[in-house]
Amino acid sequence: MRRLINTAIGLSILGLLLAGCDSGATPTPTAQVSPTKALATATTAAPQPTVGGKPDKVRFSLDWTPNTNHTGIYVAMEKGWYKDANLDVEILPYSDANTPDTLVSTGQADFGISFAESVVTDRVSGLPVKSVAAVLQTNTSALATLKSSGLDTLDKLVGKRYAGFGSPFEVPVIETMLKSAGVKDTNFQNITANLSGYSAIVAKQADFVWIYMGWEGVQTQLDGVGLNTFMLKDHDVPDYYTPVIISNESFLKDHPDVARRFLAATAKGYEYGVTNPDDAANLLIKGSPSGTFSDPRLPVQSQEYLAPFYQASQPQWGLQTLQKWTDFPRYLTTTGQLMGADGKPIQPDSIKYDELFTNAYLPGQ
Amino acid sequence: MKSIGEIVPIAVQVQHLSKSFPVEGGTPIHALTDLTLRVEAGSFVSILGPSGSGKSTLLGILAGLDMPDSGQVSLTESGSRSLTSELRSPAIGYMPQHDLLLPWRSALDNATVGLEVAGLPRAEARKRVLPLFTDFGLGGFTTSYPNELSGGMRQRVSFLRSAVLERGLMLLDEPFGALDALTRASMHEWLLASAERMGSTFILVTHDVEEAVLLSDKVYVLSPRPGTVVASVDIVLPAPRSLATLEDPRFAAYRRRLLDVLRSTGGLVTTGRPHR
Amino acid sequence: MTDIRLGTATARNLVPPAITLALLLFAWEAYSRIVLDAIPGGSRLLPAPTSVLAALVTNANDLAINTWHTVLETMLGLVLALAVGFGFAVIIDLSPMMRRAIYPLLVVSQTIPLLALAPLLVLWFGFGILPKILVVGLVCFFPIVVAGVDGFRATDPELIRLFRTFGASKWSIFKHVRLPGALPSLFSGVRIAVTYCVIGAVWGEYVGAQYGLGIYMQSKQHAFDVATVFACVVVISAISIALFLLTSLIERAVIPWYFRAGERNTQ
Repeated sequence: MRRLINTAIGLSILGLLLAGCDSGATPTPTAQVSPTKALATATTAAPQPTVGGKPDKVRFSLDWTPNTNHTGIYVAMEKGWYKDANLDVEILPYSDANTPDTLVSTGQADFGISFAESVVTDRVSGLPVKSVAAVLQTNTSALATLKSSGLDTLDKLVGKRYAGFGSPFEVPVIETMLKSAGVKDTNFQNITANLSGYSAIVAKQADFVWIYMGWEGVQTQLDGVGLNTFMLKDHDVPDYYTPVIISNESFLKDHPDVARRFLAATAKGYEYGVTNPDDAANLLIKGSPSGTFSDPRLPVQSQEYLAPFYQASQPQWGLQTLQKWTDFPRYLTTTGQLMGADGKPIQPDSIKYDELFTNAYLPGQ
Repeated sequence: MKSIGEIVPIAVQVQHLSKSFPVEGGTPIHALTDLTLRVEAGSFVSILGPSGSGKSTLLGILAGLDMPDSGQVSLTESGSRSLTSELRSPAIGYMPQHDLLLPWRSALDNATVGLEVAGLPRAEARKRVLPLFTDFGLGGFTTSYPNELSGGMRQRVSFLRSAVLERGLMLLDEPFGALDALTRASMHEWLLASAERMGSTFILVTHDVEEAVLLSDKVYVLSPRPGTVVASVDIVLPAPRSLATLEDPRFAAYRRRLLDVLRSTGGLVTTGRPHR
Repeated sequence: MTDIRLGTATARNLVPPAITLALLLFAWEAYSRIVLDAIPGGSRLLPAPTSVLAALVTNANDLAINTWHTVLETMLGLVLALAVGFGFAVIIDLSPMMRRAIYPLLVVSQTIPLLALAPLLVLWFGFGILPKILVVGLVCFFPIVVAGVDGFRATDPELIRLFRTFGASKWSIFKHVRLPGALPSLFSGVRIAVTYCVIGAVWGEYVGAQYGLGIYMQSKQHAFDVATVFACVVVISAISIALFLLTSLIERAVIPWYFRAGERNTQ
């Protein structure tokens, strides 16, 4: 869920080096599939899943310990929908240090959970990663202060202490939000703390933090901690997909049928989470390693919170629009923090926005 | 292997021996120069000299541990077969200045370690060494560890370790220097008896004039560095020697003579018995 | 040689720290219950000792499963570290050339931040037990090498000369003189190593694992279950202490002479 984007960049470069070593995982530049082409292949390739025979192996990489962002995967797993699609899905243990982006780009995983900002960073540094489905249609990130702090409007955050996670985009995003509240001089103290932002404000070591409404937000409610929250998307930060499911371009090219079967079963899982959030949460708990959740109320209430965002107004789960995949990446280029492989800031026109994602492997597409 | 008493003693001939040690960034130290001496098979010879006269260097060369720069050493079993250098070390028993007992072995197991190295199983080595413990005045201390033994006892274990190897030539490097006078006196008596019983050739390095006179058939006096033989004195005293020998007027005469030699070569600064 | 020894601690030595600990725990409990529990979410900052105890009991099953994995990784890593550390110590001791060739590289190996290396080990060797064993091995082998080399070097050269007059071979001298003489030093290296090794395993798990206290602790952190995180810390400390005591016991059994000599010398 929360991820250190600067770590992601570092590791992306690392992944690039590793990808260079591992010829099997290195895509040739010509292998990149444009959405239209992908669509063409999609219609010509067998749309019917091949059932019977040896199941196809799929390795899925998590970005965090299992949580409600992963519900669809665990539901499909527990319900046997992957098995029905003749897939043998392995959920790789979560690695704090190796992002799914690294594992997917080096071919050590076939799919993984990632974020719009990571996908953009991956692409501009040349990693063969592509978003194949949006888990949530809306960004649920927010800035939060303690209700008791009296910091109930954004303009009051000027000069206050912010405990972040060290991403290069945090400062520009917060500045954008402060400006949206009419603040001219947007200075604040930026502290990078690799811990739960929730603890940092409760301990009064920070005044405001970045939280995910679907996780920390739910926990604070359970704990009776009152928060003032400011959603990113409501304060001039273009809405973006977080999290998304990513895959490796050469994997998609070589195994379009496997990808399609995987995403079909996964979509069914997430859609089940929309209609049966409580049961879906229980399947998540059941499928996760023993002891992952301490208080079952957290995943259950988180599930209830997120259910409306899985599909939102889209006709089906997972669909992504070029609009969202353009607005936010373009916004990132304006921060001057988005660097290419050569270490120079990326210009807005140099990004091929339509290559950041594809809907081609979603069911019926 | 033979038991003690069937040892074939070795005669030693040293001719024109020289040895120097390089010093980093300085002039080399000349330890020995043109040293020549002879030791009859089965005799007890002391090498007497001031500190730094190369006595220990000489023992190292005799033991085959160090190579001389020039000169010759020949060791001959009294049966007359000359020993090559490979044969040399198994023919020699060496008793170091410090007892060098292994703290992880009991007194008995320290005494057997030489035999074990020579390939004897430990059980058999113990069988062979155990009876000698009483003879060496160590009865009842077989299971004691070195740190539980007195200095004299430790030296005796150390000597026993070399003695049980039944070597024809025993080289003793100031073995009693660290002991107090009383212990040293009893060790002298004990060594006289042991040497008698073994029949090996003994070469003792010392700077103690009385010790040299009391124990030896012959004393070679070395000059200060670079060491060379400046005098050799045959000691003729009634056998068996004991602490009573110290009272003999001839003992006093030998002592005076050796001290005079030492003084004349600058090896003795003050009169009286040298102390460590 | 400085050393921390087992068994000399008498009841008189144990009582004062026990009282201090009890007072500390009581103060901590009081602070958690009275001050922190009054703050919404305060229990997420510092769980009371009794909450930690409760977490230990409630999660005994999960803790046991994950502890087993961590202990297994630790022991295998330690065996690897001992073998490699000892091997390097012998090689370095035998040849001055190897010493010059290897020693600096070993020192450099200790300057590699595990923070950077551990993730790579996962990429190269996967999520299984191997990368954890390697992390433990890497953390632990160095003190063993250093202690081993120092131990071998401490052999009295006169002793070696003496054994040469016995006709001893290089191997025989190693077996009878150098190895036993190096054991006390080697053991002090091992004692340092065992205090690090569990942390090494936890680190290895932190960067990606299915089971183990490292990953379990992280799940609990993400689930805001601070009491269980502390319970993991307690278990990790307990494993480290147990390993330390075990090493000391083995040491007493293997080199009793060293302790005898020590007791005499300190009299």
